[in-house]
Amino acid sequence: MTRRKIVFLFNLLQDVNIIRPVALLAREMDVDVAFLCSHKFAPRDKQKVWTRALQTLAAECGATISEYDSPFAAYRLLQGGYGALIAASESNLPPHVEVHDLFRVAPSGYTRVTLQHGFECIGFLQNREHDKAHGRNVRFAADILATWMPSHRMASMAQSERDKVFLTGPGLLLQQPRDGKNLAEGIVCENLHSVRLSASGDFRQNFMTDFARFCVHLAGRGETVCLRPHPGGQFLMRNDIAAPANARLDARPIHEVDLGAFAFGISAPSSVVLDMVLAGLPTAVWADARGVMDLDNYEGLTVIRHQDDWLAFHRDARLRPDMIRARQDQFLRGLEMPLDPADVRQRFIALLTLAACRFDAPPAASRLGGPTC
Amino acid sequence: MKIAVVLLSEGHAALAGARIRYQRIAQPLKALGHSLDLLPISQFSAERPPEHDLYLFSKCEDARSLILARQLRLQGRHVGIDGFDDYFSQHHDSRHIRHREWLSAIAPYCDFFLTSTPRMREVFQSYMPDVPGHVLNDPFGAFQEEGVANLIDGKLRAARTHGRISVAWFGVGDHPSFTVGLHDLSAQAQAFRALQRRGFEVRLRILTNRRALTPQGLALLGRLDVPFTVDEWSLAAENALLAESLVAFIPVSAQSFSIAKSLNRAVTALTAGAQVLSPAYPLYDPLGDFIYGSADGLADDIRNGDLKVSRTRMPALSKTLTQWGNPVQEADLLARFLNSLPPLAADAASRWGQERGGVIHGCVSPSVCTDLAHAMNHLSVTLPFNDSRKSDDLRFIRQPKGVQVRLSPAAEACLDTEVRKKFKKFGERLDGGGFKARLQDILPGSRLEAYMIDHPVTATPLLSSYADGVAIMRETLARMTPGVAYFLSEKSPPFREAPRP
Repeated sequence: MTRRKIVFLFNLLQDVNIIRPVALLAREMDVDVAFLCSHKFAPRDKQKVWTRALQTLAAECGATISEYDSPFAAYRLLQGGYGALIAASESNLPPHVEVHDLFRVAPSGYTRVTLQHGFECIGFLQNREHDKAHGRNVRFAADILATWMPSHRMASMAQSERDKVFLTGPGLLLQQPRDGKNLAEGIVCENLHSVRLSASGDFRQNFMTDFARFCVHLAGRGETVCLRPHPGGQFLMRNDIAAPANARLDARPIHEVDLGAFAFGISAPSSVVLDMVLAGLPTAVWADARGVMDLDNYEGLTVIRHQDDWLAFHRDARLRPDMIRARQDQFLRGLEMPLDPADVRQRFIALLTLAACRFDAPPAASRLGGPTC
Repeated sequence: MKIAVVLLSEGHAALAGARIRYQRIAQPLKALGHSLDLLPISQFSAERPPEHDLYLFSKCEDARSLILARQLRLQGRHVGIDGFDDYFSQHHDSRHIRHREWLSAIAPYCDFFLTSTPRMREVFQSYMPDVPGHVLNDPFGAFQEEGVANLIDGKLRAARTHGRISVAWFGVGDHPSFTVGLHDLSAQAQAFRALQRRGFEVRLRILTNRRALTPQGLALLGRLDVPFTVDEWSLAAENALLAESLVAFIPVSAQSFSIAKSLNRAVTALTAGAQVLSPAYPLYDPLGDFIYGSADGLADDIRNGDLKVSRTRMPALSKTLTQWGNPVQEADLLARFLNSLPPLAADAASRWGQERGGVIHGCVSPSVCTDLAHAMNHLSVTLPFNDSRKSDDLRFIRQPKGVQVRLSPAAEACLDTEVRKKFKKFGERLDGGGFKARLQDILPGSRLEAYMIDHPVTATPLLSSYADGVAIMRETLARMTPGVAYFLSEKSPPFREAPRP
């Protein structure tokens, strides 16, 4: 008898971050858990950090990992089974084609779920640079879109997709490691690969120049800083750009990093800003000096544009972090986002149950056999 | 009679076309005193004179078959073509210009043709009304009446017991030009509803080629409202599927490409013990009472335990199949047809491999055409839209001071006497033989020179200037190498040369 299964899809490296907490929840259900990995995943993972993370996660979930190189290859693995297909990066945009095409052709016994994979996220909530680079007509092949905020906050979602929304809140709330340490250093996150830093002008050099000067300032005080590359972009590593001597590179998966231990956090607009805010870290959003980049979705947070702003924020984070945190709390309240980890957990369990249990028994075709994952 | 079937490559001998059409009649032909050999077209050369009496070109739709057809006819050999895919009747469709051009070009060298269906015979006949044609039905393979009857009994019993009908769809699922295969399956799938309405559960299993299983192809299948599985086709998988399936679903649309198809798929299914359900275009009418055109009739017959293909009807099926595809009978009819062809006389002055000929490469032309041209001591030249190939015998090269022409020794041997004198006077000897010279010195006032200056090399020449370019090239070649018969090799639609008198 074929058992109900939940199949998680991995294509982009950052998918591991988004899927991990959900896969760990699925492990607690009476279903088989399986991982399907596109053939593009491994070549993207130059440092093999994410392949290891994926293997570890598979071991934790008791899941097998199957690779597919075409929609049909995945179809063959899926046909005969039933349950849920869950992906973190799926839309009709070219970088998501490996998952999108699979969703388009998935056997009808599976409910297809696309998880919102970032605070500002293509097809969910976009900024102006996203709009310029990808347009505002992003579509999904999923049956359910699991969002971080209610439908009316998804300002970029096509009207025809809105009925698919299922509000879960951010899954990262389910995996916030805290080891009780407090570090003196701050963390600066780069996402230089992002269209946010290139669609309206090239701001990558500005960021690196500002960061280098900030490091000089820190070096004068004998301080270090942690520099964290974006998991998917890894712009510094891929382009062989040397970090300043007192910047310590940390490319570990986010679930291994105790964000709350840092003294402060700085990033250009990126989901990691929300990660840091949720971890209670005094956080600043970097933007270009002329104010071209779109920061609307981060309104209410501390913004730094000039070198002086970096220094002022560094000072405030040390001397009056609660002032910054209060601002951040107000920002979070305005998002209408589920923020209680217990609530978010229940929402994800409800989602998995809804998606995986659409059928009480395998659809008739599944008994016809064939290899399954 | 020694018969040679000329194929595109050795690999084509193993493909379904050659396997079904030629290899199944080779033995019966032998019994009638004829031989049938499969020859890859690359085997031909000036050093190997033809050994067969009759040459049948199968799917060799490029300039190589034109070169060989002319040579073989000069040697007094019968030359024919075999047709089983209709790329020739869609006169409104510019994608298939090259097929239509090829058929028009080879027609004068054919003294017979074969087709797989009467419809294809009509199509070929429209290109060569005076050439005799013969329909060689696709011969079927093994047909064991008792074994097939047992299989059907078992499958019928299971279907009636469980109320479940196993249905097979098999074959090529896509086509680069026509919406066939999975499209037909998807378009006619409402037939399954009729079976479901009669209380049967339908289980569909699909075997097709991997190329067809794109997201679009799989999405077509996703809209089917019966449970199905899909797997990659192989001959063994097809045999196993048909043996297990009560019904083979073979819908056919009415487009020109589809209605010219042979009875092959239905015959395969019938001889494997499956009932054939073929809605839409009645392609399989010749198999008459053994084909279900509607699912209602099939459902009734299953319910009543009285199928069109059943133990009691095996003798009648055998008789019908014999009429439409018995290898022995097909071989006999083919032999009679070929024997009826009027004998041909060889051109006494013609020597194999010594005829003057050449190939003109168009915008897209495979290099194998040059290889065969050279193997047959023919010349090669490229149209002025592309840079000339280094392997060409006549090269026209744009230079700042005008067009330079470079000749190989082979081309030099074909030169007009006056032109040769000019090369000797104005030209320069090349290392390894041949000449180079300015075209304006050799052919003063040449239209080719002006044309090449006006039209720089481009990947996509203007449609309006293409025919002119070919005509001017032919005019130039006729002045330089009179008596050489050039064939245009052009695989890129919609380019074609203007009709020549």
